[in-house]
Amino acid sequence: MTLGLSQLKDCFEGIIPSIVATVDTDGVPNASYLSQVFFVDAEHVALSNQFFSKTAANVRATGRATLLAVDGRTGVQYHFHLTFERAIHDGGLFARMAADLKAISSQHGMENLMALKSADLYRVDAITPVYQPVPAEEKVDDRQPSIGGRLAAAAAIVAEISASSDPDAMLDLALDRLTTDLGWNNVMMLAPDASGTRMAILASRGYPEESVGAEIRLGEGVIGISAAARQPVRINDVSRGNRMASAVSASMPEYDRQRTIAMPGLAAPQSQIAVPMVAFGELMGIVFAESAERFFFSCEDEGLLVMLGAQIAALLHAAEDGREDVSPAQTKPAVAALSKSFRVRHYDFDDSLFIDDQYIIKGVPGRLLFLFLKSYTDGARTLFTNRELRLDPRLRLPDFKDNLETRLILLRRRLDEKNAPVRLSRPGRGLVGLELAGTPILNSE
Amino acid sequence: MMIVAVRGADGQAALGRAMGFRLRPGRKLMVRFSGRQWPEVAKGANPGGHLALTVVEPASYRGYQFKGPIEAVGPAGPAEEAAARSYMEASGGELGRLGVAANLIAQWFCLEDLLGVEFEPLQIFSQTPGPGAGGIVAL
Repeated sequence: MTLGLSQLKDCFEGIIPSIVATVDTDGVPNASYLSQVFFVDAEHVALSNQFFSKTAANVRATGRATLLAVDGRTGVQYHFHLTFERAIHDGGLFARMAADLKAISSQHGMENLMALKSADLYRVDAITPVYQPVPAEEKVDDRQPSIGGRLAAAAAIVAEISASSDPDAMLDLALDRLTTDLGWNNVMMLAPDASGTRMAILASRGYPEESVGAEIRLGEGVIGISAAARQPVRINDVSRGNRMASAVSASMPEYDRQRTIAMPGLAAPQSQIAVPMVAFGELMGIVFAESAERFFFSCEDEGLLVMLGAQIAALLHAAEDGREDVSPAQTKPAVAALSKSFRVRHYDFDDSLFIDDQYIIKGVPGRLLFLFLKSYTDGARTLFTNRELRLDPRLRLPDFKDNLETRLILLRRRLDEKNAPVRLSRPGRGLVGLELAGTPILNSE
Repeated sequence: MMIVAVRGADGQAALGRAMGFRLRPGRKLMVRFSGRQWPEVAKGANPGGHLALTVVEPASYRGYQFKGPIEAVGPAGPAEEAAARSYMEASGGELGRLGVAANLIAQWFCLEDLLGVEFEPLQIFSQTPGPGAGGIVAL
Protein backbone atom coordinates (compact mmCIF):
# COMPACT_ATOMS: atom_id res chain seq x y z
CA MET A 1 0.00 0.00 0.00
CA THR A 2 1.30 3.45 -0.84
CA LEU A 3 1.19 5.83 2.07
CA GLY A 4 -0.63 9.08 1.41
CA LEU A 5 -0.08 12.38 3.18
CA SER A 6 -3.74 12.59 4.13
CA GLN A 7 -3.35 9.41 6.21
CA LEU A 8 -0.51 10.96 8.19
CA LYS A 9 -2.16 14.07 9.56
CA ASP A 10 -1.07 13.19 13.10
CA CYS A 11 2.50 13.92 11.92
CA PHE A 12 1.55 17.57 11.52
CA GLU A 13 0.19 18.29 14.98
CA GLY A 14 3.47 19.74 16.19
CA ILE A 15 3.67 17.45 19.23
CA ILE A 16 6.99 15.86 18.31
CA PRO A 17 9.27 18.04 16.21
CA SER A 18 10.18 16.93 12.70
CA ILE A 19 13.74 17.05 11.42
CA VAL A 20 14.79 18.13 7.94
CA ALA A 21 18.06 17.01 6.35
CA THR A 22 19.73 18.38 3.22
CA VAL A 23 23.11 18.11 1.53
CA ASP A 24 25.12 20.90 -0.06
CA THR A 25 26.68 20.66 -3.52
CA ASP A 26 29.81 19.03 -1.97
CA GLY A 27 27.69 16.34 -0.30
CA VAL A 28 28.05 17.75 3.23
CA PRO A 29 24.84 16.97 5.13
CA ASN A 30 22.90 19.25 7.45
CA ALA A 31 20.07 18.39 9.83
CA SER A 32 17.74 20.85 11.57
CA TYR A 33 14.79 20.55 13.92
CA LEU A 34 11.66 22.20 12.56
CA SER A 35 9.05 24.22 14.40
CA GLN A 36 6.35 23.35 11.95
CA VAL A 37 5.45 21.04 9.14
CA PHE A 38 2.16 22.12 7.64
CA PHE A 39 -0.12 19.83 5.67
CA VAL A 40 -1.03 21.78 2.51
CA ASP A 41 -2.75 19.18 0.33
CA ALA A 42 -2.46 15.52 -0.61
CA GLU A 43 0.87 16.17 -2.38
CA HIS A 44 2.43 19.12 -0.59
CA VAL A 45 3.78 20.17 2.77
CA ALA A 46 5.14 23.53 3.86
CA LEU A 47 8.08 23.86 6.24
CA SER A 48 8.61 26.89 8.45
CA ASN A 49 11.75 28.79 7.51
CA GLN A 50 12.82 30.89 10.47
CA PHE A 51 16.54 30.78 10.92
CA PHE A 52 17.76 27.50 9.44
CA SER A 53 19.68 29.33 6.77
CA LYS A 54 21.87 26.33 5.91
CA THR A 55 18.80 24.25 5.06
CA ALA A 56 17.45 27.09 2.91
CA ALA A 57 20.80 27.50 1.12
CA ASN A 58 21.14 23.75 0.48
CA VAL A 59 17.59 23.44 -0.79
CA ARG A 60 18.00 26.42 -3.10
CA ALA A 61 21.12 24.71 -4.49
CA THR A 62 19.91 21.11 -4.79
CA GLY A 63 16.12 21.38 -4.74
CA ARG A 64 15.79 18.37 -2.43
CA ALA A 65 15.28 17.61 1.25
CA THR A 66 14.50 14.58 3.42
CA LEU A 67 12.16 14.94 6.35
CA LEU A 68 11.84 12.72 9.41
CA ALA A 69 8.28 13.13 10.68
CA VAL A 70 6.73 11.54 13.76
CA ASP A 71 3.13 10.52 14.36
CA GLY A 72 2.33 12.39 17.56
CA ARG A 73 -0.03 9.67 18.81
CA THR A 74 2.01 6.53 18.16
CA GLY A 75 5.60 7.75 17.83
CA VAL A 76 5.88 5.94 14.48
CA GLN A 77 8.35 7.67 12.18
CA TYR A 78 8.28 8.36 8.44
CA HIS A 79 10.74 9.64 5.89
CA PHE A 80 9.29 12.16 3.47
CA HIS A 81 11.33 12.69 0.31
CA LEU A 82 10.75 16.27 -0.78
CA THR A 83 11.31 18.48 -3.80
CA PHE A 84 11.36 22.21 -3.16
CA GLU A 85 8.78 24.19 -5.11
CA ARG A 86 8.85 27.75 -3.82
CA ALA A 87 9.16 30.05 -0.83
CA ILE A 88 5.95 31.84 0.13
CA HIS A 89 6.21 35.21 1.87
CA ASP A 90 2.60 36.31 2.13
CA GLY A 91 -0.99 35.18 1.62
CA GLY A 92 -3.19 32.73 3.46
CA LEU A 93 -0.75 29.85 3.98
CA PHE A 94 1.99 32.18 5.20
CA ALA A 95 -0.39 34.00 7.58
CA ARG A 96 -1.70 30.71 8.95
CA MET A 97 1.77 29.31 9.56
CA ALA A 98 2.99 32.60 11.08
CA ALA A 99 0.05 32.57 13.52
CA ASP A 100 0.69 28.93 14.44
CA LEU A 101 4.37 29.61 14.92
CA LYS A 102 3.61 32.61 17.11
CA ALA A 103 1.31 30.49 19.25
CA ILE A 104 3.89 27.71 19.55
CA SER A 105 6.79 30.03 20.30
CA SER A 106 4.85 32.17 22.77
CA GLN A 107 4.36 28.99 24.79
CA HIS A 108 8.09 28.70 25.07
CA GLY A 109 8.70 32.40 25.73
CA MET A 110 10.41 32.82 22.36
CA GLU A 111 7.83 34.78 20.36
CA ASN A 112 10.26 37.53 19.54
CA LEU A 113 12.93 35.11 18.37
CA MET A 114 10.92 33.03 15.99
CA ALA A 115 9.39 35.18 13.27
CA LEU A 116 8.54 33.26 10.11
CA LYS A 117 10.79 34.22 7.19
CA SER A 118 8.96 32.15 4.63
CA ALA A 119 6.68 29.17 4.27
CA ASP A 120 8.68 26.81 2.06
CA LEU A 121 6.45 24.70 -0.14
CA TYR A 122 7.60 21.19 -1.06
CA ARG A 123 6.16 18.42 -3.19
CA VAL A 124 6.19 15.07 -1.42
CA ASP A 125 7.71 12.54 -3.87
CA ALA A 126 7.63 9.51 -1.58
CA ILE A 127 6.88 8.53 1.98
CA THR A 128 8.62 5.54 3.57
CA PRO A 129 7.78 4.24 7.02
CA VAL A 130 10.70 3.77 9.41
CA TYR A 131 11.27 0.33 10.97
CA GLN A 132 9.42 -0.04 14.26
CA PRO A 133 11.56 -1.63 17.00
CA VAL A 134 8.36 -2.51 18.86
CA PRO A 135 4.88 -2.81 17.35
CA ALA A 136 3.15 0.56 17.47
CA GLU A 137 0.14 0.89 19.71
CA GLU A 138 -3.10 0.99 17.79
CA LYS A 139 -4.75 4.33 17.55
CA VAL A 140 -8.08 4.39 19.23
CA ASP A 141 -10.30 7.33 18.44
CA ASP A 142 -13.02 6.69 20.98
CA ARG A 143 -14.32 10.22 20.96
CA GLN A 144 -18.02 10.58 20.50
CA PRO A 145 -19.33 11.59 18.11
CA SER A 146 -16.85 10.25 15.54
CA ILE A 147 -15.38 12.64 13.01
CA GLY A 148 -18.20 11.95 10.55
CA GLY A 149 -20.72 12.36 13.33
CA ARG A 150 -19.16 15.64 14.37
CA LEU A 151 -19.51 17.04 10.86
CA ALA A 152 -23.18 16.08 10.84
CA ALA A 153 -23.61 17.66 14.29
CA ALA A 154 -21.91 20.85 13.09
CA ALA A 155 -24.16 20.99 10.04
CA ALA A 156 -27.19 20.68 12.31
CA ILE A 157 -25.91 23.49 14.56
CA VAL A 158 -25.24 25.74 11.57
CA ALA A 159 -28.75 25.07 10.23
CA GLU A 160 -30.28 25.89 13.60
CA ILE A 161 -28.24 29.04 14.00
CA SER A 162 -29.10 30.32 10.56
CA ALA A 163 -32.78 29.93 11.41
CA SER A 164 -32.32 32.14 14.47
CA SER A 165 -33.10 35.85 14.29
CA ASP A 166 -31.94 36.80 17.78
CA PRO A 167 -28.14 37.08 17.96
CA ASP A 168 -28.17 36.93 21.75
CA ALA A 169 -30.10 33.65 21.86
CA MET A 170 -28.04 32.35 18.95
CA LEU A 171 -24.84 32.60 21.01
CA ASP A 172 -26.38 30.48 23.76
CA LEU A 173 -27.66 28.01 21.23
CA ALA A 174 -24.22 27.61 19.61
CA LEU A 175 -22.43 27.21 22.94
CA ASP A 176 -24.98 24.76 24.28
CA ARG A 177 -24.84 22.63 21.17
CA LEU A 178 -21.04 22.61 21.10
CA THR A 179 -21.16 21.36 24.67
CA THR A 180 -23.92 18.78 24.35
CA ASP A 181 -23.55 17.58 20.75
CA LEU A 182 -19.77 17.74 20.37
CA GLY A 183 -18.76 17.18 23.99
CA TRP A 184 -16.63 20.32 24.21
CA ASN A 185 -16.90 21.28 27.84
CA ASN A 186 -14.97 24.55 27.92
CA VAL A 187 -16.01 27.00 25.22
CA MET A 188 -16.24 30.76 24.96
CA MET A 189 -17.06 33.45 22.46
CA LEU A 190 -15.35 36.80 22.53
CA ALA A 191 -15.82 40.09 20.69
CA PRO A 192 -13.38 42.93 20.04
CA ASP A 193 -13.72 46.01 22.24
CA ALA A 194 -14.23 49.51 20.80
CA SER A 195 -10.48 50.15 20.57
CA GLY A 196 -9.89 46.89 18.71
CA THR A 197 -6.98 46.09 21.03
CA ARG A 198 -8.75 43.59 23.30
CA MET A 199 -11.16 40.72 23.05
CA ALA A 200 -13.90 40.50 25.69
CA ILE A 201 -15.92 37.41 26.60
CA LEU A 202 -19.51 37.61 25.40
CA ALA A 203 -20.62 34.19 26.59
CA SER A 204 -19.03 30.97 27.78
CA ARG A 205 -19.69 27.45 29.01
CA GLY A 206 -17.68 25.45 31.50
CA TYR A 207 -16.12 28.34 33.41
CA PRO A 208 -16.94 29.99 36.72
CA GLU A 209 -20.08 32.09 36.54
CA GLU A 210 -18.56 35.54 36.32
CA SER A 211 -16.64 35.71 33.09
CA VAL A 212 -18.64 37.98 30.74
CA GLY A 213 -16.56 41.06 30.01
CA ALA A 214 -13.22 39.44 30.90
CA GLU A 215 -10.63 40.67 28.43
CA ILE A 216 -7.47 39.49 26.74
CA ARG A 217 -5.12 41.64 24.69
CA LEU A 218 -4.71 41.10 20.96
CA GLY A 219 -1.57 39.09 20.28
CA GLU A 220 -1.68 37.42 23.71
CA GLY A 221 -2.32 33.71 24.08
CA VAL A 222 -4.07 31.52 21.54
CA ILE A 223 -7.13 33.82 21.51
CA GLY A 224 -5.18 37.04 21.08
CA ILE A 225 -2.91 35.57 18.40
CA SER A 226 -5.86 34.21 16.46
CA ALA A 227 -7.64 37.57 16.67
CA ALA A 228 -4.59 39.60 15.66
CA ALA A 229 -3.79 37.34 12.71
CA ARG A 230 -7.42 36.49 11.88
CA GLN A 231 -6.29 32.90 11.51
CA PRO A 232 -7.35 29.73 13.30
CA VAL A 233 -4.82 28.61 15.91
CA ARG A 234 -4.82 25.06 17.22
CA ILE A 235 -2.39 23.66 19.76
CA ASN A 236 -2.51 20.09 20.99
CA ASP A 237 0.30 20.20 23.53
CA VAL A 238 -0.09 23.32 25.60
CA SER A 239 2.99 23.44 27.77
CA ARG A 240 2.62 23.34 31.48
CA GLY A 241 3.07 26.70 33.12
CA ASN A 242 2.46 28.54 29.88
CA ARG A 243 -1.27 28.86 29.92
CA MET A 244 -3.06 32.01 29.05
CA ALA A 245 -1.95 34.86 31.21
CA SER A 246 -4.67 36.06 33.52
CA ALA A 247 -5.70 39.63 33.03
CA VAL A 248 -5.44 40.08 36.80
CA SER A 249 -2.01 40.25 38.29
CA ALA A 250 -0.71 41.21 41.68
CA SER A 251 1.45 43.92 40.18
CA MET A 252 -1.58 45.78 38.83
CA PRO A 253 -2.46 49.14 40.38
CA GLU A 254 -5.44 48.94 42.72
CA TYR A 255 -7.76 51.01 40.50
CA ASP A 256 -7.05 48.63 37.58
CA ARG A 257 -7.63 45.53 39.69
CA GLN A 258 -11.00 46.85 40.82
CA ARG A 259 -11.99 47.31 37.18
CA THR A 260 -10.88 43.98 35.76
CA ILE A 261 -12.78 40.73 35.36
CA ALA A 262 -10.48 37.73 35.66
CA MET A 263 -9.97 35.76 32.43
CA PRO A 264 -11.19 32.23 33.10
CA GLY A 265 -9.30 29.18 31.86
CA LEU A 266 -8.58 25.54 32.61
CA ALA A 267 -5.85 25.01 35.17
CA ALA A 268 -4.00 22.51 32.98
CA PRO A 269 -5.17 22.67 29.38
CA GLN A 270 -3.50 20.34 26.88
CA SER A 271 -5.42 21.32 23.76
CA GLN A 272 -6.66 24.75 22.71
CA ILE A 273 -8.32 26.05 19.57
CA ALA A 274 -9.29 29.58 18.58
CA VAL A 275 -11.07 30.44 15.35
CA PRO A 276 -11.85 33.96 14.15
CA MET A 277 -15.45 34.77 13.30
CA VAL A 278 -15.25 37.03 10.26
CA ALA A 279 -18.07 38.51 8.18
CA PHE A 280 -17.68 40.94 5.29
CA GLY A 281 -14.00 41.26 6.09
CA GLU A 282 -14.68 42.34 9.65
CA LEU A 283 -13.58 40.47 12.75
CA MET A 284 -16.81 39.94 14.71
CA GLY A 285 -15.29 37.72 17.36
CA ILE A 286 -13.39 34.60 18.33
CA VAL A 287 -14.73 31.21 19.28
CA PHE A 288 -12.37 29.42 21.63
CA ALA A 289 -12.39 25.96 23.16
CA GLU A 290 -9.95 24.05 25.33
CA SER A 291 -9.56 20.62 26.88
CA ALA A 292 -7.40 18.91 29.48
CA GLU A 293 -6.91 16.05 26.97
CA ARG A 294 -4.09 15.94 24.45
CA PHE A 295 -5.00 15.83 20.76
CA PHE A 296 -8.51 16.89 21.60
CA PHE A 297 -9.11 19.12 18.59
CA SER A 298 -8.48 17.63 15.15
CA CYS A 299 -8.12 19.51 11.88
CA GLU A 300 -11.71 18.39 11.16
CA ASP A 301 -12.81 20.10 14.38
CA GLU A 302 -11.04 23.23 13.20
CA GLY A 303 -12.88 22.99 9.89
CA LEU A 304 -16.27 22.70 11.53
CA LEU A 305 -15.51 25.60 13.85
CA VAL A 306 -14.53 27.76 10.86
CA MET A 307 -17.93 27.01 9.27
CA LEU A 308 -19.78 27.65 12.51
CA GLY A 309 -17.81 30.83 13.18
CA ALA A 310 -18.61 32.22 9.73
CA GLN A 311 -22.30 31.63 10.32
CA ILE A 312 -22.26 33.28 13.75
CA ALA A 313 -20.25 36.21 12.38
CA ALA A 314 -22.74 36.71 9.55
CA LEU A 315 -25.63 36.80 12.03
CA LEU A 316 -23.84 39.21 14.37
CA HIS A 317 -23.02 41.41 11.41
CA ALA A 318 -26.60 41.35 10.17
CA ALA A 319 -27.83 42.24 13.65
CA GLU A 320 -25.69 45.37 13.62
CA ASP A 321 -27.46 46.54 10.46
CA GLY A 322 -30.83 45.31 11.62
CA ARG A 323 -34.16 47.02 11.26
CA GLU A 324 -36.04 48.15 14.32
CA ASP A 325 -39.51 47.18 15.52
CA VAL A 326 -40.53 50.57 16.81
CA SER A 327 -44.04 51.77 17.47
CA PRO A 328 -44.74 55.03 19.34
CA ALA A 329 -46.79 53.29 21.99
CA GLN A 330 -43.79 51.24 22.99
CA THR A 331 -41.53 54.17 23.67
CA LYS A 332 -43.30 55.40 26.81
CA PRO A 333 -44.06 52.50 29.10
CA ALA A 334 -45.49 53.17 32.53
CA VAL A 335 -42.98 53.04 35.36
CA ALA A 336 -44.13 51.65 38.66
CA ALA A 337 -42.95 53.30 41.85
CA LEU A 338 -39.89 51.55 43.23
CA SER A 339 -39.45 51.27 46.96
CA LYS A 340 -35.76 50.25 47.02
CA SER A 341 -32.78 52.14 45.66
CA PHE A 342 -29.22 51.36 44.57
CA ARG A 343 -26.11 53.49 44.21
CA VAL A 344 -24.42 53.88 40.81
CA ARG A 345 -20.95 55.34 40.49
CA HIS A 346 -19.63 56.16 37.04
CA TYR A 347 -16.05 57.23 36.29
CA ASP A 348 -15.77 59.41 33.27
CA PHE A 349 -12.10 58.69 32.50
CA ASP A 350 -12.65 55.03 31.58
CA ASP A 351 -16.46 54.79 31.75
CA SER A 352 -16.18 52.21 34.51
CA LEU A 353 -19.41 51.73 36.40
CA PHE A 354 -20.00 50.35 39.90
CA ILE A 355 -23.34 49.42 41.48
CA ASP A 356 -23.40 49.42 45.27
CA ASP A 357 -19.57 49.36 45.15
CA GLN A 358 -19.44 46.32 42.91
CA TYR A 359 -17.61 46.66 39.63
CA ILE A 360 -19.89 46.06 36.64
CA ILE A 361 -18.22 47.09 33.38
CA LYS A 362 -16.19 49.79 31.65
CA GLY A 363 -15.72 51.21 28.16
CA VAL A 364 -18.62 51.52 25.73
CA PRO A 365 -20.89 49.13 27.70
CA GLY A 366 -20.27 51.23 30.85
CA ARG A 367 -21.11 54.40 28.94
CA LEU A 368 -24.27 52.77 27.60
CA LEU A 369 -25.46 51.66 31.00
CA PHE A 370 -24.88 55.08 32.52
CA LEU A 371 -26.81 56.71 29.69
CA PHE A 372 -29.76 54.34 30.21
CA LEU A 373 -29.83 55.06 33.94
CA LYS A 374 -29.47 58.81 33.45
CA SER A 375 -32.31 58.81 30.92
CA TYR A 376 -34.38 56.98 33.50
CA THR A 377 -33.65 59.37 36.38
CA ASP A 378 -34.06 62.44 34.13
CA GLY A 379 -37.18 61.44 32.25
CA ALA A 380 -38.34 58.00 33.44
CA ARG A 381 -37.37 56.43 30.13
CA THR A 382 -37.15 52.66 30.00
CA LEU A 383 -37.20 51.98 26.29
CA PHE A 384 -34.52 52.90 23.78
CA THR A 385 -33.91 52.24 20.12
CA ASN A 386 -30.58 51.23 18.64
CA ARG A 387 -31.00 54.07 16.17
CA GLU A 388 -31.23 56.81 18.79
CA LEU A 389 -28.31 55.26 20.67
CA ARG A 390 -26.20 55.36 17.53
CA LEU A 391 -27.05 59.04 17.08
CA ASP A 392 -26.57 60.07 20.74
CA PRO A 393 -23.39 62.17 20.90
CA ARG A 394 -22.89 61.29 24.58
CA LEU A 395 -22.12 57.69 23.63
CA ARG A 396 -19.35 58.78 21.25
CA LEU A 397 -19.85 55.70 19.11
CA PRO A 398 -17.82 55.56 15.92
CA ASP A 399 -19.79 56.56 12.81
CA PHE A 400 -19.02 53.25 11.21
CA LYS A 401 -18.83 49.70 12.63
CA ASP A 402 -19.85 50.57 16.15
CA ASN A 403 -20.83 46.96 16.98
CA LEU A 404 -23.54 48.36 19.24
CA GLU A 405 -25.56 45.15 19.21
CA THR A 406 -22.57 43.10 20.40
CA ARG A 407 -21.90 45.57 23.21
CA LEU A 408 -25.53 45.43 24.28
CA ILE A 409 -25.34 41.63 24.36
CA LEU A 410 -22.23 41.81 26.53
CA LEU A 411 -23.82 44.36 28.87
CA ARG A 412 -27.07 42.42 29.21
CA ARG A 413 -25.19 39.24 30.07
CA ARG A 414 -22.88 40.95 32.52
CA LEU A 415 -25.85 42.47 34.40
CA ASP A 416 -27.55 39.07 34.55
CA GLU A 417 -24.37 37.42 35.75
CA LYS A 418 -23.94 40.03 38.50
CA ASN A 419 -27.61 39.69 39.46
CA ALA A 420 -27.69 43.47 39.21
CA PRO A 421 -30.74 45.58 40.22
CA VAL A 422 -30.82 46.87 36.64
CA ARG A 423 -31.22 44.53 33.67
CA LEU A 424 -31.66 44.90 29.96
CA SER A 425 -34.38 43.29 27.94
CA ARG A 426 -34.84 43.12 24.20
CA PRO A 427 -38.55 43.76 23.67
CA GLY A 428 -38.13 43.82 19.90
CA ARG A 429 -35.55 43.98 17.17
CA GLY A 430 -33.41 47.09 17.59
CA LEU A 431 -34.98 47.87 20.97
CA VAL A 432 -33.52 47.92 24.45
CA GLY A 433 -35.69 47.83 27.55
CA LEU A 434 -34.54 48.85 31.01
CA GLU A 435 -35.76 46.71 33.93
CA LEU A 436 -35.21 48.12 37.37
CA ALA A 437 -35.53 46.54 40.78
CA GLY A 438 -34.93 49.84 42.56
CA THR A 439 -34.38 53.52 41.98
CA PRO A 440 -30.85 54.34 40.82
CA ILE A 441 -29.01 57.10 42.66
CA LEU A 442 -26.41 58.34 40.22
CA ASN A 443 -23.01 59.73 40.96
CA SER A 444 -20.56 60.56 38.19
CA GLU A 445 -16.90 61.45 38.75
CA MET B 1 18.20 13.56 21.32
CA MET B 2 20.70 12.96 18.54
CA ILE B 3 20.28 12.96 14.79
CA VAL B 4 22.81 11.60 12.33
CA ALA B 5 22.75 12.69 8.67
CA VAL B 6 24.82 11.69 5.65
CA ARG B 7 24.52 11.84 1.90
CA GLY B 8 22.55 8.73 0.98
CA ALA B 9 23.35 6.33 -1.84
CA ASP B 10 20.81 8.20 -4.01
CA GLY B 11 22.65 11.48 -3.52
CA GLN B 12 19.93 12.90 -1.25
CA ALA B 13 20.21 13.47 2.48
CA ALA B 14 19.60 10.40 4.66
CA LEU B 15 18.90 10.85 8.36
CA GLY B 16 18.14 8.82 11.45
CA ARG B 17 18.36 8.87 15.22
CA ALA B 18 21.73 8.20 16.82
CA MET B 19 22.19 6.02 19.90
CA GLY B 20 24.77 8.22 21.57
CA PHE B 21 28.40 8.89 20.79
CA ARG B 22 31.82 8.42 22.32
CA LEU B 23 34.91 10.63 22.29
CA ARG B 24 37.83 8.99 20.52
CA PRO B 25 41.52 9.84 20.60
CA GLY B 26 42.62 12.66 18.30
CA ARG B 27 39.45 14.78 18.76
CA LYS B 28 37.36 12.22 16.92
CA LEU B 29 33.78 11.17 17.70
CA MET B 30 32.28 7.72 17.25
CA VAL B 31 28.52 7.86 16.80
CA ARG B 32 26.25 4.80 17.01
CA PHE B 33 22.96 4.09 15.24
CA SER B 34 20.81 1.12 14.28
CA GLY B 35 21.51 -0.17 10.78
CA ARG B 36 18.21 -2.01 10.95
CA GLN B 37 16.16 1.10 11.66
CA TRP B 38 18.17 3.48 9.47
CA PRO B 39 19.40 1.46 6.44
CA GLU B 40 19.70 4.55 4.21
CA VAL B 41 22.11 6.13 6.69
CA ALA B 42 24.07 2.84 6.85
CA LYS B 43 24.36 2.74 3.05
CA GLY B 44 25.46 6.36 2.82
CA ALA B 45 27.95 6.36 5.71
CA ASN B 46 31.26 5.54 4.03
CA PRO B 47 34.83 6.67 4.69
CA GLY B 48 35.53 9.77 2.64
CA GLY B 49 31.96 11.00 2.95
CA HIS B 50 30.70 13.59 5.44
CA LEU B 51 28.55 13.23 8.51
CA ALA B 52 26.47 15.70 10.52
CA LEU B 53 25.58 14.89 14.12
CA THR B 54 22.92 17.07 15.77
CA VAL B 55 22.62 16.93 19.54
CA VAL B 56 19.68 18.63 21.28
CA GLU B 57 18.75 18.87 24.95
CA PRO B 58 14.95 18.39 24.91
CA ALA B 59 14.24 20.43 28.05
CA SER B 60 16.05 23.58 26.92
CA TYR B 61 16.13 23.22 23.11
CA ARG B 62 19.88 23.91 23.37
CA GLY B 63 21.48 22.22 20.38
CA TYR B 64 24.73 21.78 18.50
CA GLN B 65 25.67 20.25 15.18
CA PHE B 66 29.05 18.59 14.56
CA LYS B 67 30.21 18.11 10.98
CA GLY B 68 33.22 16.40 9.49
CA PRO B 69 34.62 13.62 7.30
CA ILE B 70 33.88 9.99 8.04
CA GLU B 71 36.99 7.95 8.84
CA ALA B 72 35.74 4.47 9.70
CA VAL B 73 32.50 2.49 9.78
CA GLY B 74 31.87 -0.88 11.39
CA PRO B 75 29.62 -3.00 13.57
CA ALA B 76 29.51 -1.87 17.18
CA GLY B 77 30.82 -4.40 19.70
CA PRO B 78 29.24 -5.45 23.01
CA ALA B 79 30.81 -2.51 24.87
CA GLU B 80 29.21 -0.07 22.45
CA GLU B 81 25.92 -1.90 22.69
CA ALA B 82 26.02 -1.52 26.48
CA ALA B 83 26.81 2.19 26.08
CA ALA B 84 23.93 2.57 23.60
CA ARG B 85 21.61 0.88 26.09
CA SER B 86 22.66 3.34 28.82
CA TYR B 87 22.09 6.21 26.41
CA MET B 88 18.64 4.85 25.60
CA GLU B 89 17.73 4.60 29.28
CA ALA B 90 19.04 8.07 30.15
CA SER B 91 17.55 9.79 27.09
CA GLY B 92 14.25 7.94 27.24
CA GLY B 93 14.02 8.72 30.96
CA GLU B 94 14.54 12.40 30.31
CA LEU B 95 11.82 12.45 27.64
CA GLY B 96 9.50 10.60 30.00
CA ARG B 97 10.10 13.23 32.68
CA LEU B 98 9.14 15.88 30.10
CA GLY B 99 5.80 14.17 29.65
CA VAL B 100 6.39 12.17 26.45
CA ALA B 101 4.44 8.89 26.54
CA ALA B 102 6.44 5.66 26.81
CA ASN B 103 4.87 4.12 23.69
CA LEU B 104 6.15 7.05 21.64
CA ILE B 105 9.66 6.94 23.09
CA ALA B 106 9.87 3.20 22.37
CA GLN B 107 9.80 3.92 18.62
CA TRP B 108 12.86 6.17 18.69
CA PHE B 109 15.51 3.89 20.11
CA CYS B 110 16.73 0.71 18.46
CA LEU B 111 19.71 -1.49 19.21
CA GLU B 112 19.36 -3.88 16.27
CA ASP B 113 22.34 -4.11 13.90
CA LEU B 114 24.15 -1.39 15.84
CA LEU B 115 26.85 0.40 13.81
CA GLY B 116 29.60 2.78 14.84
CA VAL B 117 30.81 5.62 12.59
CA GLU B 118 33.98 7.47 13.50
CA PHE B 119 34.31 11.00 12.15
CA GLU B 120 36.40 14.07 12.76
CA PRO B 121 34.21 17.04 13.79
CA LEU B 122 35.91 19.91 11.99
CA GLN B 123 33.08 22.35 12.58
CA ILE B 124 30.56 22.86 15.36
CA PHE B 125 27.44 24.97 14.82
CA SER B 126 24.97 26.30 17.36
CA GLN B 127 21.44 25.06 16.72
CA THR B 128 19.72 26.62 19.71
CA PRO B 129 16.60 28.36 18.36
CA GLY B 130 17.13 32.07 17.93
CA PRO B 131 19.14 34.52 15.87
CA GLY B 132 22.41 32.74 16.70
CA ALA B 133 21.27 29.47 15.14
CA GLY B 134 23.61 28.29 12.41
CA GLY B 135 26.56 30.24 13.83
CA ILE B 136 29.95 28.52 14.11
CA VAL B 137 31.01 27.65 17.66
CA ALA B 138 34.69 28.25 18.34
CA LEU B 139 36.58 25.05 19.05
